[in-house]
Amino acid sequence: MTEIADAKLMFPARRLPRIRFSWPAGSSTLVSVAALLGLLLIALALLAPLISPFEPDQQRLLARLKPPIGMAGANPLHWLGTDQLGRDLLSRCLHGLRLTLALALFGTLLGLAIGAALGLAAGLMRGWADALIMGLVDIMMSLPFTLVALFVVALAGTDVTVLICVLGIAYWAHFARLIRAQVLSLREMPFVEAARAAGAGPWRIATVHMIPNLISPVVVMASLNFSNLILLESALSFLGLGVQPPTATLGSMVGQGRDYMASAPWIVAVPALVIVLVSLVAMLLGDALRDRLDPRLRGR
Amino acid sequence: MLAFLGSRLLRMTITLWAIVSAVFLATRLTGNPIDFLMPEGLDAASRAEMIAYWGLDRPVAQQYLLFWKSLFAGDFGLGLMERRPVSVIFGERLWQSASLLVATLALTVAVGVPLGILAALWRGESRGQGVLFIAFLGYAIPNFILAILLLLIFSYTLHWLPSAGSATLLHYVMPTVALAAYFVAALTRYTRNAMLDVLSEDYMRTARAKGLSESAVILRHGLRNALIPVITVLGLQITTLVSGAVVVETVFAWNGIGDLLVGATLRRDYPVLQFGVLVVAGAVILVNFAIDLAYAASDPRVRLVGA
Repeated sequence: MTEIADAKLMFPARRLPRIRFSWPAGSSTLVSVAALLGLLLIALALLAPLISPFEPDQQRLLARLKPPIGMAGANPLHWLGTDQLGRDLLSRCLHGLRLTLALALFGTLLGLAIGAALGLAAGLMRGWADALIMGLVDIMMSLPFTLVALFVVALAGTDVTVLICVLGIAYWAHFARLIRAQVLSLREMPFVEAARAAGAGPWRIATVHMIPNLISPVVVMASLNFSNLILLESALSFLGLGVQPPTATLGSMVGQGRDYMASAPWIVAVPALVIVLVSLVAMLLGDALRDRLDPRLRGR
Repeated sequence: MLAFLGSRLLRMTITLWAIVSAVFLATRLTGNPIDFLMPEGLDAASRAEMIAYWGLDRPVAQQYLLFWKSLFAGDFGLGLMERRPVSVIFGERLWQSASLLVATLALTVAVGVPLGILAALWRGESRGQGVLFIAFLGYAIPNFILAILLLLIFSYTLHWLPSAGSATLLHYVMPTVALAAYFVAALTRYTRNAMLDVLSEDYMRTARAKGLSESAVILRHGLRNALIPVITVLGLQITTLVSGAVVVETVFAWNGIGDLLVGATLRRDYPVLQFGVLVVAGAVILVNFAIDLAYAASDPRVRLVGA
C-alpha cells in the first residue's frame, strides 16, 4: 500500500487540460441541464424549416395579434401567438434562432481567421510587424465596439454580409492577442528549440509545433466569443442595424415588436425570453468550459 | 514614473491620431463624402458649392489638414436632420448621457461591492451560491432584453414607472438598473475573488490577533487591499459601459448621445455620426489614460511593469 502511495507522490499525473464532454457526477447539475438545453436549441435551429408550423414570413391577416396559448382569445394553431401582421411567432422564433446562431458562428470563424493570421504573424515575426499588429489590437480594444459597428453600418449599409463582417471584426483583436501570447511562450519551449535545432523552418514550426498546442485555449475563447456574438447580433438587429425586415432574428423581432408593447406584449416577450434562455445556456456552458480548462479557477 | 507617463502619453496620442485618420480615410475611400454629408436630390449648383465649401476639390493631403483643423475648432458642419451645428446638438445631450453614466457607476459600486464581500464571506454556503447565481443572471441577460422586460413589467403592467424620457428621478430607475446589472454582476465577481485572495493573507490573521473587531478586519484590512485590482478591472469596463449606454438609451428614448448616434446611423446623418465617433472615442481613451495614471500613482509595481 505504502509503495503505491509513494509512487503516486513521486509521479504525479501530469495531464494537459482538455475538453471533456461528459460532466463528472460531482459537477453541478445546472451545467448538465444547460448542456441538454444547448443541444436542444441547436437541434431546434437545425430543424427549423422542418418543424415550423408556418412559413416565418407568411402573413395571415385574419389571425393578427393572437396571444399565446393559455391567454384569452388564443388561436390553437399559433402556440406562441402571432404578431401585428399575423405571422406565427413560434415559426419566426425558430427561424430567428437558426439565423442568429448561424451569424454568430460565421462571425466567430471570421474573427478567428483574422485573429489567428495576425496573432501568428506577430508572435513568429516579432519586430516591427509585432509592434504594428499589437498597436492595432490596442486601438481596437480601447474603443467601445458599438461605435465601430455604427460607423461601419453607416458607411457600408445594412446587409447580411456587412453584419457578418461587423461580427467578425468584433473579437479578432482578442484572438490575436491570445494567440500571440501563446506563440511567444511556446517558442521558448524545449521542443520548439529542438525542432529548430533539427533544421525545421518557420512554416513547419508554426504548423506542426505551434498550432496543435494553440487549439485548447483558442477553443475556449471561441466558445466565449460565440455567446458574446449572439448578444451582439441581437443588439444590432434590435436597433435596426442588423438583419432587415421581413427576415427575423430574435433581436429584430424584439426591436420591431416594441410599438405593440402596450396592446400585445407577447410579440416582444416571446423572443425576449428566448434570447434570455439562449444567453443563459451559452454563458453557463462557456463558463463551465473555461473553468474546466483553466486550472487557476478550480475550486472557486 | 516619468518614463511610464511618457510611454502612455505617446501611446494615447498614436491611438487618437489613428482613429481620426481612420475616420477620415473611411469617408474618403467609400465614395465622395458629399454624398454622405448632404441630403439626396441636391441640385448640381449647390452640390458644387458644397464641394468647394468642404474643400473636397483640393488634394487629399490638404483635405486631411483641413479635417484636423475643423476637429480642433469643433466645427463639423450642420446635422442633416436638425440643421444646427453638430457640436451644439452634442452639447445639449452631453449632460443626459453623463448623468446616466454617473448614476450607473454609483449603483454599481453601492450594490456590487457589498454583494462581493458577502459572497466571499459566505463561500461554500448556499447563501453565497445564491448571490453568485443572481450575479450570473445579471451577467448573462443582455442589457436591452433586461430593459424590455423591465418596461413590460413596471411600465406596461404595473404602471409604476414612466417608459420614456428623462424628466424626473423616477425616469432614471429603469435605465440605470438595466445598464448597471451587468456591471454589478461583474463587480460582485471581481470583489469576491479579490476578497478570497486577501482573506488568507497573513496580515488578516495579524489584524484578528491584535483584537480588532471582525467588521474592522474585513473592511479596513481586507476590502482596502482587495479593491485595488477591482478598480483596475472596472476601469477596463468603460468601453463596455459606453457600448451598453448606446443601446439602453435607445430603448428608453433617453435624450443622450447614444440615442442620437443610433438615430444618426439609421438616418445616415453623417456629420453627427462622424463627430460622435470622434468625440466618444476620444473621451473613452482619455478616461482610460486617467485611470492608468491613477493606478500607477497608487501602485508602484505597475510603473515597473508598464515603463
